[in-house]
Amino acid sequence: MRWTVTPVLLFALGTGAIAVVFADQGQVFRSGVQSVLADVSVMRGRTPLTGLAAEDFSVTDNGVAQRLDSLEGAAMPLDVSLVVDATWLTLGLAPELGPAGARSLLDNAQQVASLLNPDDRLGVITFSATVEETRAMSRVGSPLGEISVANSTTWSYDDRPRITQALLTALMAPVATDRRHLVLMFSAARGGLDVPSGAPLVEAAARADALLYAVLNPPHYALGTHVPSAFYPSEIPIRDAVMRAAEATGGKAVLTGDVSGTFRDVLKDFRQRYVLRYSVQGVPTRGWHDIVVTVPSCPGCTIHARRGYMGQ
Amino acid sequence: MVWQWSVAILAGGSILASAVPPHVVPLDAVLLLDQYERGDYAAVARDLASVDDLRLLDHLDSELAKRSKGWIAAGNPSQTRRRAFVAGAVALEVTHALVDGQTSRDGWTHDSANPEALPRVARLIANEVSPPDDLEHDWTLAQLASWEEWNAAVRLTAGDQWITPEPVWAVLLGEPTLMQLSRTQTAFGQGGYLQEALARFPGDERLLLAREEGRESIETRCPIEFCFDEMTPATLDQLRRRAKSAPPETGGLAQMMNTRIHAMAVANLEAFDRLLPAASRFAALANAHPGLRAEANVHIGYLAIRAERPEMALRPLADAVVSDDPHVRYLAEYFTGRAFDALGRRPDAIAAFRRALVVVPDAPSAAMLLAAQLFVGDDSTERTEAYAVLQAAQAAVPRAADPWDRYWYGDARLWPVYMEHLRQALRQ
Repeated sequence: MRWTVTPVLLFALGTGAIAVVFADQGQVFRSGVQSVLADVSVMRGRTPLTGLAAEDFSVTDNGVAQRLDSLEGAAMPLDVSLVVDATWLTLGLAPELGPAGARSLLDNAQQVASLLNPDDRLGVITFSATVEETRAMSRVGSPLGEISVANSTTWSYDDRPRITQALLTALMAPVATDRRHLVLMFSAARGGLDVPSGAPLVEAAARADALLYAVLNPPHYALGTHVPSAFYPSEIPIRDAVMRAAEATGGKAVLTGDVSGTFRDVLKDFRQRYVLRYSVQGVPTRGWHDIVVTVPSCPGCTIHARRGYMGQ
Repeated sequence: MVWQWSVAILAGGSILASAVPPHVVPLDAVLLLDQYERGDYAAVARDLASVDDLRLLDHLDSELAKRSKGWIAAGNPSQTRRRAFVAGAVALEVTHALVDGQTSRDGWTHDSANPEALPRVARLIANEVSPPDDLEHDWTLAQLASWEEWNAAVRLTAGDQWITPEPVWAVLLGEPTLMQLSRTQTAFGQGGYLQEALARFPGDERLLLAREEGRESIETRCPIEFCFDEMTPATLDQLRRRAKSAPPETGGLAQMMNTRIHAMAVANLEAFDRLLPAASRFAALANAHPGLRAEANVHIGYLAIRAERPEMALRPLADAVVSDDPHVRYLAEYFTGRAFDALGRRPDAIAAFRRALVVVPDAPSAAMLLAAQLFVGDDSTERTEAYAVLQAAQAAVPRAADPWDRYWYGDARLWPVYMEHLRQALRQ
């Protein structure tokens, strides 16, 4: 498949339930009322369709029509997981970055943080031969100085960049019910996959309560050379897996070297999403739920939605 | 036995000293040889591990290549053969330090693509005609492990792996290899290192296993960046479409890319067709050598999975999971999980990945696949566990060696074991 950068619409989802705590037993039981939060993007052509109201949306949950409780949006705080390929920065795989790779990571993280609101939170995961959570998810008001490229760059035998491990760690992180989770990855996506195929990553991404945007460094060079290596990304398993995983979450993979500019665009897009909230009715709450969102008043619009969520 | 040592290796042990101050001046080759002859092995290993600048190691390697012959001859004539093996052992230590340098630092250089001392000293030893003995056997296996770990360094860092994906295995088997390694190949003759070693030790199981592992690598493995080691129906379809259509003659860069993609598809499909024949060879090896059965069965299981025949993998892997060697046991459980996954037997896959993680806790290869399996289930508690599994794999410091990372490198994992045997033999 030829690589194309197309506007991909966003859809992220969170779930919540009313919890009842029995202090003497230390157990949490959840009631049958489950609140579902869904990030939806509606595009007419290449333009976001704004100004829609709750009654414009039709939502089914496991085939059963649902009534929206509210239409929320940009005000909802974000959890942003920045997943950064430390190999890219520290092992000279992106010679254009020069020796200031570690500094570049901090600069990028600070630029990302500067675009977030005070209530938003930022976490940083770096990966090379290891995966490190170099900044725990915390409010952006806190200092960023602790972010570092702390990863081991010890390459023994067939160690491969732990890109899947890092992405799975970010995508599987629990998300609070009142927040949206955006996973933003920067990587050269070179070398082999750290899993047998992209399938586990794509399948997990499809069920994650997060939206993945991947910024992939352009394949200007073959590894360690200056020979052009402009293979179509889908021909290279690692890129193909990341692209499909991003699409499975409702996000997208972008081929660019402009990290901060891309994040600015991503964030702008992200804040233009509609966030639908409904209380699940007419279907059992537990297990996997397929959901379908449509806008009947705009049959020509493109709506991107994740496939569902895991009921509590 | 080998497996007892591999327990220590899996636990992160090493016979090299760590946390020593860096060396900033060149090490003297003759002083190292003298130290080693006196039995001060730990000091030599410590000195080599402390060299931060790979250029110093390159220089030492060259000096050792030049001076070993004179140093061997300078001793008592009755000690010539032993001194040759001392020089050989030091060459192995230096080669290991170069591998360590290349894989743990960003120091690949053209000079270090080809270790100088090791093939030259190996030639000197081969010229010392005498009946094979335990000392030579220990040296032979240690040298095998050195070349196998050298392959890891070359694969990680060589820029033209597209042309020759397995350069060092090619040296060992006498196949065409990288130009940089041709000097090394010349040292072993046309048949390659393994043919020479098997001529000295016919029927040696480690050498026979290495020969099949080398063939498996060369014939069925693909280059790193464009690697489809693991086929899926979708991948196969994609490759077949590519291979069927000739590259369009568009000219320029686009044609070059299309030509390479076409060649990649053809090469991957050819490799796919070699998977089951390779499994048959491992089966024959297992039948002839019961001591290799568990390891051969692991290879059979993996080859069957790659050949899209996971049902064929289960039986050999079930035989291998009872191995005493934790490296083998982990791989058997890990591949069992993957075979069950391919068969759509999710609970069995989860159970196998859990067992693998009992053998090597927090190994990323099984942890990731276990987490992925747990996460896609319909049980929310399993989703919580999936995240915990990944967190544990992330937090495991120092991380135990992941056997899956070492699958393609034969006995390289046993380098410390073989070196210790060699040192003990030199002491006697």
